Amino acid sequence: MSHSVESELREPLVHGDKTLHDITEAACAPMERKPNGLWWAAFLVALTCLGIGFVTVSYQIATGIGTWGLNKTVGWAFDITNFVFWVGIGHAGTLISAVLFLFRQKWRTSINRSAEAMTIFAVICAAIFPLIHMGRPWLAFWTAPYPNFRGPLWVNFRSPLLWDVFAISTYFTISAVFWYIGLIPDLASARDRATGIRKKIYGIMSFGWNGSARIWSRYETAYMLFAGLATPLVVSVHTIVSMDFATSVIPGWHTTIFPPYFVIGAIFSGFAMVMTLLIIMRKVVNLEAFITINHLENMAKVILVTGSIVGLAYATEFFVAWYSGSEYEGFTFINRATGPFAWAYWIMVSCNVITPQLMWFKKLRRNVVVLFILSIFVNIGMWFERFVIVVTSLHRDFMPSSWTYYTPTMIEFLTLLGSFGLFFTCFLLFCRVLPMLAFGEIKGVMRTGKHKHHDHKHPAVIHKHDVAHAKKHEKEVAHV
Amino acid sequence: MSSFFFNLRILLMSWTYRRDVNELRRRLGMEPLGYWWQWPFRGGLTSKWREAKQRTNRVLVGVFTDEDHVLEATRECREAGFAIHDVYTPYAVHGMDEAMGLRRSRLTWVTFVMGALAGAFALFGQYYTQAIDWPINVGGKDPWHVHAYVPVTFEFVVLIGGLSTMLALFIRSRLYPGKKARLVVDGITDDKFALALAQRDTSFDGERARALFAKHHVQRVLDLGEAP
Repeated sequence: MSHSVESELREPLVHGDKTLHDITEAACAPMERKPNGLWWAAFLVALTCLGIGFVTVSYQIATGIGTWGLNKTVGWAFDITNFVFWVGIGHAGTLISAVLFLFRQKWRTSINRSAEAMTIFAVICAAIFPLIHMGRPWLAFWTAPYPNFRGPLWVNFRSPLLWDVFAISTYFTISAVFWYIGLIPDLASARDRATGIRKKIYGIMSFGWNGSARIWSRYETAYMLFAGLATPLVVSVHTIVSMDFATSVIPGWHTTIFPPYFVIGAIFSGFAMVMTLLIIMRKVVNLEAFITINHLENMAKVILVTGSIVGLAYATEFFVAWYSGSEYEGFTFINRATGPFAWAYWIMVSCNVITPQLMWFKKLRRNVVVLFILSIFVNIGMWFERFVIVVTSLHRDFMPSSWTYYTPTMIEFLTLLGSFGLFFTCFLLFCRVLPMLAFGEIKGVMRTGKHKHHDHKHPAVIHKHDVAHAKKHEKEVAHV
Repeated sequence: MSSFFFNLRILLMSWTYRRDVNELRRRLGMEPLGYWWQWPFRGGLTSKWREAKQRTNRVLVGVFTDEDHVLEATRECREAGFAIHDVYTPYAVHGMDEAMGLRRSRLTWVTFVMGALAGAFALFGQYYTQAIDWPINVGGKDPWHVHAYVPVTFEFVVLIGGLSTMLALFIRSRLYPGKKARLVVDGITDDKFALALAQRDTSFDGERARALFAKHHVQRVLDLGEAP
């Protein structure tokens, strides 16, 4: 690429000597061939989980949320944990697509599309939990500030729960728009290769895209604007989620560290989930040439950094609980580490603080099996982090007479399973019907790190063979 | 049940009627009526702009297979005084805006203005509902304290800013669901790059354009009567 700065140190983003057409072929192949047995097996498992989830959610809506293990003391537990967990998972997609775009991290192009899809599905999963928690989900529209015949009685804009409604719905909308805008050129490529009904559907979905550079110019501007809007948005969303807790006066929740701590935790868990999915996906649909070990290594580095920050946040929380001199704050934290839920606390610490530290070793960072196991550990650890924050802060409150323990019911477990079913069903369908590589963008960066066409006017590194190549090229031009 | 079929019949009638009207309009040399959601893309200023564009519908197209070649060809053609109708590429080619002499997109203004309006609307809406229409006493706190209203205002700015940017992009580029794609050559969305020069008047020097194309390794040259 004439504009790209070639580096001797940087490895190519796309492996193998591929032409533009090869990239289109490779990216469209999973959409055009029949799915293999592995896909069907995964899809059936996911669909079964989704079915179980559908039945349990219907049951608990029909019966009421008394089907959960909540009690007078622990009023928030599994449901909110799942909500925060899924919203956190959703953060990596926007981070990869928007923040890495603004930082000109070209390696994002191989993974951004599937990460964005993951964001959207994760936010859908997340949104289901507060809906169920409402008890009467058909009245969910009451959270919208519309003129009504009840006064009009307005929603309370000072409540963090309402901020959440705005944050999550905005986040979903903007992520979906960002994702779809990115999809349009790739859908056009798919349209021009397809026949019959698929051509028709891709034709409708690709908005008559014809590759005009005038449109590309506006498109690039719009894409940058979306990245600029999505970057503060992604920070705001988990900040607001953390404020659901931080603006309360419960020891263990009422801390100013929560917003940055939640945002970093979200990035940490989101990258882990992206890694889990991509390691499976690159194997199942043969995308190893595009999602290379370098991509995985980069993600491992992000996990290492964010995991260390999360560890620092845990330590800071403990320090402040002691340093503040607040009796209740101190008790809550000692209770977390040594009380009845100590098992959950130590699962969290070992998964989130200890395992990511293995990523200091390059050998482990470049080992796919290790990375896969690590990403699963982080997923588990981050789920427990939310569980620990929600449940351990509540179960021993100010009155020892109301101290209690919380045990989730089977309904709650099956609802969590159902949300995983929804997530994987959506993701597997996405892998089948939409381009899961942003190959329009990959084509733009494929020459990075390769020495095929140098910019002869502004070479970053001048080598002997470059000079020879340039001389040869000059002769050709003169000949014409 | 009968009302269902009645409604269905009305729906079908409106469909056939629309087709008749479109046939009539076509015969009269008018633009056929579209679906209701196509109106921002068809009527008013945009159709005038399109008419002005269609006057130069004859184009000479050079098809290239490398982004460097098409970029250099575009730059030289523009410097040689040719009017660039458009360049068609499978991906956003960096530096093409400068090569074509395109000015910076004004979409940023749409985002800014709509975001600012959304912010003002959100702040006013919250002020009206919380401090004027029905102030709620929460622990004796002042019903209007701007800090508490920042999150919703911010989210609304981002939401409206983003959605209006999307709409502005689609309306300005006249992209809408179901639009029929007219590709200048096959493979534009795969691995071909096409430079289309507008043949506005008799001063258009076709030979010189072909020579410039050839200098930049053109794959083939097409003379199209109608621009895509």
